[in-house]
Amino acid sequence: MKKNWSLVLISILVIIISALIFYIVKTNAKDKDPVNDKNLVASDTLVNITKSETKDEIIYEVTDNRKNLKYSWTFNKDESLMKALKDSMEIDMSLKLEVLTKLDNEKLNSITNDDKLIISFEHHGELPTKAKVRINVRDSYKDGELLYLYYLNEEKNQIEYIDSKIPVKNGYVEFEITHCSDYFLTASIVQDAVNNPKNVNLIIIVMVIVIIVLIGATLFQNKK
Amino acid sequence: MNNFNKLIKGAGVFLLYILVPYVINMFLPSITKSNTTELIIRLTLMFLLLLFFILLYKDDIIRDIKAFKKTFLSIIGKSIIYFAILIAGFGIISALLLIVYPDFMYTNSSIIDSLLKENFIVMIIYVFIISLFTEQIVFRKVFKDILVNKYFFIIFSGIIYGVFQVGYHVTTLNELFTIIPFAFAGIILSTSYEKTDNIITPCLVYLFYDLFLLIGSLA
Repeated sequence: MKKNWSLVLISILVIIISALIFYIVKTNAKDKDPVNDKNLVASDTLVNITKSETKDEIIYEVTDNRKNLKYSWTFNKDESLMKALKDSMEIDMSLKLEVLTKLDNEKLNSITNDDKLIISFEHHGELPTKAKVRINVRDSYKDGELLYLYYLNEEKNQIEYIDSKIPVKNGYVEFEITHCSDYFLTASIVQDAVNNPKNVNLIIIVMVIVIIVLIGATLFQNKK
Repeated sequence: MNNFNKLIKGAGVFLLYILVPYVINMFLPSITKSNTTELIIRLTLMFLLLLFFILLYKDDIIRDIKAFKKTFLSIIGKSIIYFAILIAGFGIISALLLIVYPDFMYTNSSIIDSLLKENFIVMIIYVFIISLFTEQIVFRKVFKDILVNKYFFIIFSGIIYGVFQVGYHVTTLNELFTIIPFAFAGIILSTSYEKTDNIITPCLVYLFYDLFLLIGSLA
């Protein structure tokens, strides 16, 4: 009995030490600013917005002063887009975006994916039609990396999953959106985001394994 | 109760544990747009599921509660020991994993922080009552009833517990490593149940663990 209570006391000591370690780790994590100060491509450095058209698409390309493509928008030519263009949607105002590494948002700052790249659209709200956005991410991600895209829903104060496995090709990523606001890219999953892709396959496989094992164990015992 | 009855009951509980949240996730977002309403409905349905599980195993649970009353101090003491092993082991494994997967530790604490900030009471009920008892019934009671070999029960139920804790979000090989500390936690919880033969023990260990995380997130 005495031995048991000594063990309990040792355990309490272990718990206290663990708590201290966790506290120190947590404090260090809070102190460490997960983002650096390089605000990559600010809108004031925009140089050129060029428009080109194909049979089915309208493409707007934004290049910097060295003629490097910073980002582009591609719209399918459909009725809703034509109507919006007729209503004088000003491209240089509505389609401007900034690529940042930090944003003053509590929800966004609460997540710890320190490789996140924020895409802040100047236009907030629905787009006339689905748009394909192509962005230069060369400074943040390597070719071949697969990224997650999340939407920062300020109204609901939550992060919403949009897409995953977006490949970096030649320094660019491409994704589709229907709504402009603040998004961010990251190479790893944001665990507390809404609508994260669920790895149902793994769970189904494990579920089947569990059932088989349980059935097997029962049959084995009955045979005994 | 014969082995086949235990199997049918256990497999049923296990399948319900997986399928009910899945069905809720499928239909609930189309029923309500409000996060709070959605959370309350989810909470109510999960609570009803827990009640159903308790009803299924009520005889065993009543027996364990009676035994707990008799050996109150012993079980509390053992729970503290197992909790200490759990927290120390979890910490060491997590620290080692941080080298491989740097987001691991911080991500978990950020989930708890954000959930507590948004719906403190609801989350407390969910974590400290519903999730706590449901997981002990599903991963401890069900498995122990069917798997007679104690080592097999401890290791198998521990690994399955680990898979279910993070398996839904595993999309890369790196993230697969995050199963390890949770599997370790599952093994410790199963060991505590096996050694004391009382479901209250893993419940207490888990309760201490939740309290530890809660205090950590509030600190």
